[in-house]
Amino acid sequence: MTPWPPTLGIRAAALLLLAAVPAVARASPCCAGATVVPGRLMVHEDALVGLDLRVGRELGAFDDGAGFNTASGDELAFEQGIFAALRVAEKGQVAARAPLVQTYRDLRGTREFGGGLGDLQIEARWDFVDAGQYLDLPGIAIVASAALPTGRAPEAVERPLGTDATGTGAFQGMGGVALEHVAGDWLVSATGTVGARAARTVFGEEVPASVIWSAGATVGLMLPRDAVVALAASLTDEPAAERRWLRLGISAGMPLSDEWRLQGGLFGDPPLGGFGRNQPASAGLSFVLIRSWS
Amino acid sequence: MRSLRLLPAILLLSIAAACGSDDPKDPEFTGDPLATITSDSGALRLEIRTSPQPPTKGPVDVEVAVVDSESGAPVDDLSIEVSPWMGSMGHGSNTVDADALGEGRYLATGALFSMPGPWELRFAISGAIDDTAETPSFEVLP
Repeated sequence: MTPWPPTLGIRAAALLLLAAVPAVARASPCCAGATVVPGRLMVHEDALVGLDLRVGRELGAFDDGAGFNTASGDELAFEQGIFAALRVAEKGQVAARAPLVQTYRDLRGTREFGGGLGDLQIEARWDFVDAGQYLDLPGIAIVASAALPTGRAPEAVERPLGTDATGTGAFQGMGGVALEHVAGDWLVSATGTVGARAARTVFGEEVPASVIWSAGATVGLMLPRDAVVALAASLTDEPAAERRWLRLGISAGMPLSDEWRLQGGLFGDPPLGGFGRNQPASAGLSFVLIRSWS
Repeated sequence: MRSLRLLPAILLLSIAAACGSDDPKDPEFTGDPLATITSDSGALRLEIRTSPQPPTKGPVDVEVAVVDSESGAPVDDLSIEVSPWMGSMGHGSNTVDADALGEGRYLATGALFSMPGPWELRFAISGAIDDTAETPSFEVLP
């Protein structure tokens, strides 16, 4: 295996990290799905804290036959998260995120805005091989995350349009593998995860656990001044619920200084028949601001 | 620049002003039922209609017409709780008490389908008879 020249390796790692804008996120607070803490430590960093903002608009939904139906009302989903990551070993890091979730709905002449604390997220990552460490070997890491049901479950709502629902009501766990390869100014990454929505009891009835598969890919390009632009796609499938959806994202990031970096992106679920099933589709934008310590 | 500085305040005021109602129409229950089901004990037959029908995302009014399975006579003096249930997502929604309208008809106002997709309606019946019932899965449009 051929090591990268140190400066190129660090540059490549920066490219990777800035490309990792959370374009792939849950469709709505009450939908189980991938949980992603949008802060990841670079190889030379010991800790970081950050703030992320998201807003999304529901476009419609895919039905059981994968047909797309346009939304008849209006729904906006807002989310603000604070998060932190800490290096616990040379190759290992942990992170946590606390989200605030709000929903605005306008349905058949009734309008409502509500929200609260969402589901807390914790995440761990171990990099067996750092991205950019070798010319001919991709970065290899395992990731694991969990979402705790600290938000209000959909069946616990008190408001007429349910805008106070802020979580799934269920524990969720996920584990997977991430591969990342850097070639010149280009990055390619692929992630595969398998997770589960834990069993729980609702209205006295046992709701069984459900497995959720997800695969994602990102292509990034480094631009002048260490800025980066990336395209991302993810496909998520929950067989027991006969639910799947494709999410696309375009994101950009740039360092503001050695300690501060800014990321932003657009995400969307293609509102076309065949691109999802039993799942709402939405589109929106996100911003992430990170302060790190080395 | 000044108008840009006012933008956040305008947005907040717009949202605050938007939280209200435009006097939704009275529910209408016409046409074929969404579902006709037999209660779990077999004693009752329920015809379910919704307004709007087919149901769309949001609060929906549910009319339940209850008759005796054998005689076909309307059954009054029941208490009925209506609960929307989304089995594919593993969650429910609000539980609504239905008001008795007479002649075996009951009205549950504001049963919430919080997202589009496959839902069921579940009924907990008490009073003259204790029973339960649920509809097959049906599609709630966005």
